[in-house]
Amino acid sequence: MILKSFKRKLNQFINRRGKESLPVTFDWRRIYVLPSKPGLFFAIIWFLMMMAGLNFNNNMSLMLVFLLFGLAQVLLYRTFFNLRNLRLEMVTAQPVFLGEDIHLKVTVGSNDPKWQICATTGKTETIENIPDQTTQLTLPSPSIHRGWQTTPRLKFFTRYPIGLFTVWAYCIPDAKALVYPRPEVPCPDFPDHGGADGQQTIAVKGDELSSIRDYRQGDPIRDIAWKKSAQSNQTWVKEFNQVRGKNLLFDLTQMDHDSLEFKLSRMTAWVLQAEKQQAEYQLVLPGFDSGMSSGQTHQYHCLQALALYQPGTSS
Amino acid sequence: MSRMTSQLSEKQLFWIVFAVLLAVLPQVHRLPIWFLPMTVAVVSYRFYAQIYQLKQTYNRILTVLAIAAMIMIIYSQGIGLSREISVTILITMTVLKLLETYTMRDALLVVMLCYFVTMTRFLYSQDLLLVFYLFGSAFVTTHALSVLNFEKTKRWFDTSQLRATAGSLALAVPFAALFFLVFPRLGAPIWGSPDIFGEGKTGISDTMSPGSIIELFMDDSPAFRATFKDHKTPPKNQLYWRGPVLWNFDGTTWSRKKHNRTRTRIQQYSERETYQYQIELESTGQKYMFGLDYVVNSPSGAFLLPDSILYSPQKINQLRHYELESLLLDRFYQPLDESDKLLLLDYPANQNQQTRRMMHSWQQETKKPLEIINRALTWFNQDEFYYSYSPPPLSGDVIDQFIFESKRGFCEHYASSFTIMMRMAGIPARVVTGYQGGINNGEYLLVKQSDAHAWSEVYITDGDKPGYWLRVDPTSMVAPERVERGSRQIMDEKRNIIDYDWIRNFKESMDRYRYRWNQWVRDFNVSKQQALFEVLGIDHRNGKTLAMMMAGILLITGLLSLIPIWWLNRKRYHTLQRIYLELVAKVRKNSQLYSLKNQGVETFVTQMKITYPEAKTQLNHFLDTYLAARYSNNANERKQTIAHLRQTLLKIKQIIKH
Amino acid sequence: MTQHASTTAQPNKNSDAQIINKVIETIGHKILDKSEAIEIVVATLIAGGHVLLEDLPGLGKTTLAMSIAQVFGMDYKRIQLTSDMMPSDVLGVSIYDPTSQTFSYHKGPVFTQFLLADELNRATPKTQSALLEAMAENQVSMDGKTYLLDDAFFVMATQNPIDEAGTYNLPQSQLDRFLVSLSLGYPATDSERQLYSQSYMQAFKKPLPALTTPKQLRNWQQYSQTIHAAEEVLDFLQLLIKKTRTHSEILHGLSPRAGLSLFRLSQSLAMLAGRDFMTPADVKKAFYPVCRHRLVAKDNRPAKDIIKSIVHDTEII
Repeated sequence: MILKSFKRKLNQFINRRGKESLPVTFDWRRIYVLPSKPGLFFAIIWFLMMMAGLNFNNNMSLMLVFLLFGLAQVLLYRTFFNLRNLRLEMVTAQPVFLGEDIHLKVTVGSNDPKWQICATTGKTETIENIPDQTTQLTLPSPSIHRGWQTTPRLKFFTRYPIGLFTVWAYCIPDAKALVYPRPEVPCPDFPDHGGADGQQTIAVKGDELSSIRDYRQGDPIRDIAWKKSAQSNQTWVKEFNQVRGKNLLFDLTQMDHDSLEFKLSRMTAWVLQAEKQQAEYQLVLPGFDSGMSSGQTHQYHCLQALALYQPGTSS
Repeated sequence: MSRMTSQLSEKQLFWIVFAVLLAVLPQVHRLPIWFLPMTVAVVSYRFYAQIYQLKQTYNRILTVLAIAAMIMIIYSQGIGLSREISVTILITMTVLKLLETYTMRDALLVVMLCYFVTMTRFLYSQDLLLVFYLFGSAFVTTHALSVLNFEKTKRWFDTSQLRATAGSLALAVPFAALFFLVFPRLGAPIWGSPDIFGEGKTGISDTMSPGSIIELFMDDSPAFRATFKDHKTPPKNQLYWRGPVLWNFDGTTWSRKKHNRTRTRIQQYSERETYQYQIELESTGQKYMFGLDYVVNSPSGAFLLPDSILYSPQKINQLRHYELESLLLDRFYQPLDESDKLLLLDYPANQNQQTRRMMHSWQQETKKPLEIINRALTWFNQDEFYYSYSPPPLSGDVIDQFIFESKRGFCEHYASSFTIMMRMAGIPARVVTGYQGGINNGEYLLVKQSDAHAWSEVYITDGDKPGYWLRVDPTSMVAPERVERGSRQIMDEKRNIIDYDWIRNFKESMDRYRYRWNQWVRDFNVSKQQALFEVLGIDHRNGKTLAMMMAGILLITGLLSLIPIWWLNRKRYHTLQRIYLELVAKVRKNSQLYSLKNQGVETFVTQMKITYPEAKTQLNHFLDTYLAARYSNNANERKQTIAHLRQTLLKIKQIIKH
Repeated sequence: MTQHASTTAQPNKNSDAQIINKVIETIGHKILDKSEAIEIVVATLIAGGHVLLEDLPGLGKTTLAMSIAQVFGMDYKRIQLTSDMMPSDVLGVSIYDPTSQTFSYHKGPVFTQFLLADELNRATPKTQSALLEAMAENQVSMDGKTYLLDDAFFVMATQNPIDEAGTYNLPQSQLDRFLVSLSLGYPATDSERQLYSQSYMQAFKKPLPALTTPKQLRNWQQYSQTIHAAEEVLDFLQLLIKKTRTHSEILHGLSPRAGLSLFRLSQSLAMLAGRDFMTPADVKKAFYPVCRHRLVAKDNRPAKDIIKSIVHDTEII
């Protein structure tokens, strides 16, 4: 009981700064120091050595003992200086689908070289050296729910150079990652709303031969229809067309299912599938209409809307 | 925690093995004979396993190996919990642990054990030369830890990382020195005693058999050092350092008499006649202490036996210091019991008949002991006796053979023969062993093992007058230079292949550092520390003051090591950068201009030309020269250029000031 | 000895710089108050790169191009790009001659020394990429044959920065082919007043004299590549590039090719300053025009202020 409240208080103290806008520089006020596990073992061995040295007043043993003590102190400073004035410059993350890991791109910088800087979210850790100025490290962090997900508390620690001490600092950066709904697998068939216009043909140069016309100056040689030209006195040129695909409409209100998350998940799968087939599609949610289009940007808008959709916001 | 179970790289293994070997090797000579082959096998196997990526050996095999090693240790060193065996076990297990060292966790354990192994070496000896071992082993072990923690590059000897380790150690040195001086010491051991450690007996022993002293002649290591008060040193031929006195002779070997009393101090003497000195005795593993004939009184912690031997209750396994006062007496008056007298007249009855007959004939001619002594000495002097370190071996009636046949020998032979001759002539006599002479090594007198000597002491009674002891050195009759100049001077042949004068001289001058070392480090103890505290005006009996002082020292040393780290972490500039900063410093007061200093020399100078148009030509010149010196392909005449730049700087400064 | 050697090498280096500076000055008679932009354009020319001018109409883009071509004595061609232009309109065509039953290649406007490609963003992506490929490879491949362009081929493309209908913005990958991008901007009030003066109008009409030759230009191009860069300068250059890659507000940092462009432009700027070695100031000067069209901020804004702040915040002592 006491332990629990103590833990809570400790966490409150550690998190007292709340979310911080970046960049954040770790100065001495926010750096914690404790011996590491090897450090504790070192301390035990050191203590035994000191007892033996003192007991026999063996001066060379004591010299070694005190040398090691001095060494430990120097190493403490070295480790501390290795973390001090580390800058957390930026935390970004590409959007992911629910269930995938968010890859936090953490940019850290420093004016002097720093070695073996570990960053951790508590579950995974990444080690990087900062030989000069800035370095980026990637931290996987699980995605928990759809929508904006705040960055967990980051811990930066280092044991450089010898590993006797762990020096660390916490920061909760004010950064968030977008989590799309989990796409339904396998992707269900598209809804048969009839679409906006059905199929449509656009005169874009493609692979399908559509017609043959007269040669005009500037036509590329490879488009010339040699067979037909040879048969006549004229030079003929082939024209190619391509079917641009269907127009699709995804409307949340027209879906018949109880679970909102399920519906969003299915729509996510559709958006992905439609984009993959280079079809034009339109996403309609209460309070959101993407318009009929395709392309990366369009897909991004649609997925973002799906990720951030809250049932209350229908106005 | 994945760090703890991660596998080792070859470089890491190399450094671990290096650390272990360096920690262990200086003790190899003390360890059982099978230890070295075992170490070689373990290390070879471990590297083989690393290169061919063999999996870790089964634990069962390792257990069997460990048990086998234990049995071997018991077989070689006996059973028991002596420290000797503990240290052997520690070292053996550290080496065997290498077989198990595949992950970071085990590696850290092994490497840290190396610190402990290094320390155990000092329990046996604290010689000055071991300082190199101390720092070398500490360095390699620490570097092994550093490499385990982080490999900056794949190179096995990465200079920058090596330098970092060396830097950390160097910064730790002032800290260690301060702590060494002020960390409260224990007056007496809490458990056990330092006696248990020792490298075996060295120096003169309490028996003398043929050839026992000759071994010492080969040894140039120091026996003890004597520092005379006010540099009042006795003449060289008076430097007889008394060791064990030998009473009993069984035909080949001389041995001591057991005493159950002590001698009293010499009562009547004047202060002026005495020599006061301090002796620093190297560890001998025995209980004898040495003093100049004749010691006035026993020092603290030692007895004075009736035959004027200084005797310590404990074995001398550490450096031992004691203060002595001696009188250089010709005659040492001391009553002698009848039983003792009989003992001193005893000799193997059925041996050495020829000598016996000669002594009887001498005894017939005169009753006066002094005349017989003189006659014997004259005989040694005038007959064909030679001083030799390689006499022919003797057996059987050794005295007869020596006196009448070989006539070649050294102190041992002469002292032994002379003593027996005196006993045969009815004069009580005994052999005294010890050292003779010493080298004046600046502020102290160095006595080496090779100065070992043996002489005789005869007891003279003249009627009712009190009897006295008279020292007779028959060797001096044969080879006076032995007494005048030291044993080494009368040897013609080299004792071994590296026996050169310059090496001996080097060793002797080295001993001066060793002496200092002994004084300041090896023998630093509670009393010296208290003396230091008193000088500093610290009340060493008050626990509170001590605690305060310790905290203060921690703080001071903390800052001491902090400053260099700060200094190392500072931004460093090269000469040309510093020249630029000098220029910048000239306009420190112009804050607007000064704020441009981080924009580089060109931006800065351009702006400066606008602010100080009067210095335009100089600034232009400065900029051109500077840029060429710093960035151009042929920046070779640096020294001149830098001097030139400084001159230009000076001109600019003058112009700006006006 | 070294003294002597350096004195013989000196005048050559300096006279080159003098001529170039004369060139810049002469062009400056026509384009008032824009000597920095002119310097960058000339430096780009010497670095063997191409220029992208982003300006509103009427700010002197054409005048600048004409002047440079005249002063350098280069062949000059201008194409006005429109959406109905085919690649063949730029590169040339193989024309089938029915009488001789063979194809003969008719060179397009790209076969010149100085090409002004006006309003590049009006052309279709296809035409754009055809031109840019020719620029990058200094050759035209047509129907399996390769036609080499002039050694001193130099493109100055202009773009209208105002987003108008019917324009095709160049993708990032194509923008990378331009060594620098510039904007002349409005002239300062005083200089603008000067435009209306009689003497300027008269001077404006006269073509500029050719001060140098394309052959000389090629020599300079070769010489500029030998400009020495000290380690320290390279460190600074790399630091700047690295900063663009890790900056929190920039979408993508500079590519290695962009880094090379920065290096080349710095070299020729050093040459313009009459030095045979680079200094950090050259790199600083080159950084903005090299980055201007390459760096895009996170929210699709141009990254002008960010670029300037990177240069300003990077300390060099």
